[in-house]
Amino acid sequence: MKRKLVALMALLASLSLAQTTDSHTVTVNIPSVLQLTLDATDYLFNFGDTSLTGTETVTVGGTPYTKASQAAYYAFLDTASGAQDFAPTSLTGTGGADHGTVTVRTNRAQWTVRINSISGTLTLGNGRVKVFAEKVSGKGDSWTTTPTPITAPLTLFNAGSGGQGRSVYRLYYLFEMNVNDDIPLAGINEQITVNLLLTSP
Amino acid sequence: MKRPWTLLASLLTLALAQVDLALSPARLELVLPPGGEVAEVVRLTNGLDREEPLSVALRPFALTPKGDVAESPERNLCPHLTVTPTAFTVPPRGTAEVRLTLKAPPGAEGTLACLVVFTAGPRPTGLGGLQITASPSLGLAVYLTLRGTERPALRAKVGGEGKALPVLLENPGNVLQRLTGEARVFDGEGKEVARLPIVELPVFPGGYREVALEPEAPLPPGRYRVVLILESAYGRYAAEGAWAVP
Repeated sequence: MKRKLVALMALLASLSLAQTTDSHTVTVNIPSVLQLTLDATDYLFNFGDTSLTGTETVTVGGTPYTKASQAAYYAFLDTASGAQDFAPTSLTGTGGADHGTVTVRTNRAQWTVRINSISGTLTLGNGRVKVFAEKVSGKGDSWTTTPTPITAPLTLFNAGSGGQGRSVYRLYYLFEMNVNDDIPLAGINEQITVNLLLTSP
Repeated sequence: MKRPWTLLASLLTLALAQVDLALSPARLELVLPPGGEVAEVVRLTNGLDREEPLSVALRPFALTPKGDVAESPERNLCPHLTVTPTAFTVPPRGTAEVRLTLKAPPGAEGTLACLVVFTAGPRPTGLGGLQITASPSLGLAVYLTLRGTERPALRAKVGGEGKALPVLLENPGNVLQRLTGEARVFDGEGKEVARLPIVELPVFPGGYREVALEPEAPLPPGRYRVVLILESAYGRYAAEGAWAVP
């Protein structure tokens, strides 16, 4: 009987000990993240394209721009007296959309997307390529109020504060043709690479 | 009944992405004594079903008055930063780890900075005509402050005219100031009418930062008194001014 009582007391003591020293460890792991998603990898301006009729347009910042094609180029040569901006003939990676889409996902308040560098030089000059970033949803603001000649560095859009979440921007490129351009006999078949940089300072 | 369409739309969105890269952590801010050394690991995650080859470049930078990064050799941390590996491939739907080793240079003072740029290669399609190819990069901002050499300072000016509240923050010190706080706005009768937050705003040493704090709901036209209270790792700062809302 005495033994049972001692065992019971020991049990109660251990229980009360467990209660007084009980504690929980709450571990919180929230990694900061900065994610960039891009669909369009290539914007093609083909003024020798014969698949388009020359009337197809892309609306950029409320203004319609004719897609580059042979028909559109010949019409331009017939009537133009100066320069005209053309939209791409086609884009690779957008599934048929006439614009690229850049998505930023982050839990950081501040981030910025800019043209960091341009590789290659076009015969007619890289300044003939214009860029326009249009906010679709999310945070931050576009820095391009009109199609702007590309240069590096050039901030396209950023969030100076409260940039957390998912932000979606459309990215348009246009190419300026001038009726006075003297195109080499061999034509122009060139490529430049535009490097986009996302960073959270 | 809408669900199959939602699923189809999300599958299409996934299929369209050509580059899907995430960087974690998004930034590194370290403190070391001169001569000290530290190693950090950053992770790059590829959200696509194909592998993503990346290359690494180091660029010294400063912050512009608008908070953007600009290449600048003035507080260059890059010579004291080693990245391993400098070229690697992130597996499909996988993660790659990159090791950064920093050695705090003896003799330097305050905060130094380097941008570690991870770049995915362009994917030329071989199409004819004039072609613009996109090549995306993620930049990891790395700041190192040398312990014992800090000379923190801040000058804040608040107020002016406009629908958004103009704030000017100057950093004449030698350390990065990362400021958190708020501007408290009072009307003519002394009643608080708005609180405009500032969260982890960086001001580069020797630089300044201009921000315009926009209230969630526009304030009625009039004159307001503003008290700006900010805090950083180096102390608390306050400024007062008048704000005219047209």
